[in-house]
Amino acid sequence: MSEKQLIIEVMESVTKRTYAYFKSEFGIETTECNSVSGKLDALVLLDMTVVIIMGGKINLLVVFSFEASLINAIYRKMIDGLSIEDHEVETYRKAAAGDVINTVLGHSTIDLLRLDKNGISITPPRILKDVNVIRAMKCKMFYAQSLSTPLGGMTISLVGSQELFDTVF
Amino acid sequence: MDILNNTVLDILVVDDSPIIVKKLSMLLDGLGYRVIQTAANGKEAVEAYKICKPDVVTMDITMPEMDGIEATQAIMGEFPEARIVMVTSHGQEAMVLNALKAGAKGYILKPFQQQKVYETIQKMCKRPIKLQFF
Repeated sequence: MSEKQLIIEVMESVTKRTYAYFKSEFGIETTECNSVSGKLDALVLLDMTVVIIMGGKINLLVVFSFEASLINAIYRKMIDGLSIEDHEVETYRKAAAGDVINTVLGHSTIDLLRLDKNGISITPPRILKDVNVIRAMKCKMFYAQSLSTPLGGMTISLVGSQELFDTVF
Repeated sequence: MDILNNTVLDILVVDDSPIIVKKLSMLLDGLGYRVIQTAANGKEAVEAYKICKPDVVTMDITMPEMDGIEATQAIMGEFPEARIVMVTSHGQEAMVLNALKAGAKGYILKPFQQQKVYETIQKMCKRPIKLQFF
């Protein structure tokens, strides 16, 4: 498989699994908006951002960035029936963002199994605190896909090596 | 505790997500199990196991510090009778097989389905599966 195909397959799988998870778990309909790819100076982030590294042959940083209205809606649905103290709200809101990306990428590994039969590892999700922009480092490239929902927007971005993306865009 | 009779099973819930810990604990309570301890990573899980000796451990795979597979190996190395069920959104067969090789007795996929959670724990403890209305 070419590197171009790999990146496209990863993005297709992640967006497809995001639609499915949002619909089945939260009843949220998602539509695809514009995508941006290639060498960017910086990736502008929304209100809450969480990252995971997909390992093995894929080896990409996957970034989910949410508008506040969307992650707040997801948070409220996730904690339905749970007792959350006022001082715990921010912790649980961040955990909600982490659970979304963790679940979506976990499900994506089923689609992507044939890309790496030894298994695709995923790291624990990490919230980016007080980061509004990821600046392009020397060898990093971005591929970003915006998604829209009635409750707010989000972007899914793949960040990888320049060699990987040079052959693609 | 004799887990073959009808006594309540004591459960250790291990997950780095506080939401998952709360949701799973509530679900397990609703099924009649008793969550006696929680842990946020593999290291905490190993220490908690030594102290509370639960009947069952629900173990997330992807966690910081020490992941669920390493923690399972560590617990099984010291307590071969431990009953550990992996909890994961990871759909890959290879990852699930690694967990089972480490000594896990079963696995539960996220998002949780109450019936599946119940059946997995009952089967693991060789308890009868009664009809439940979820």
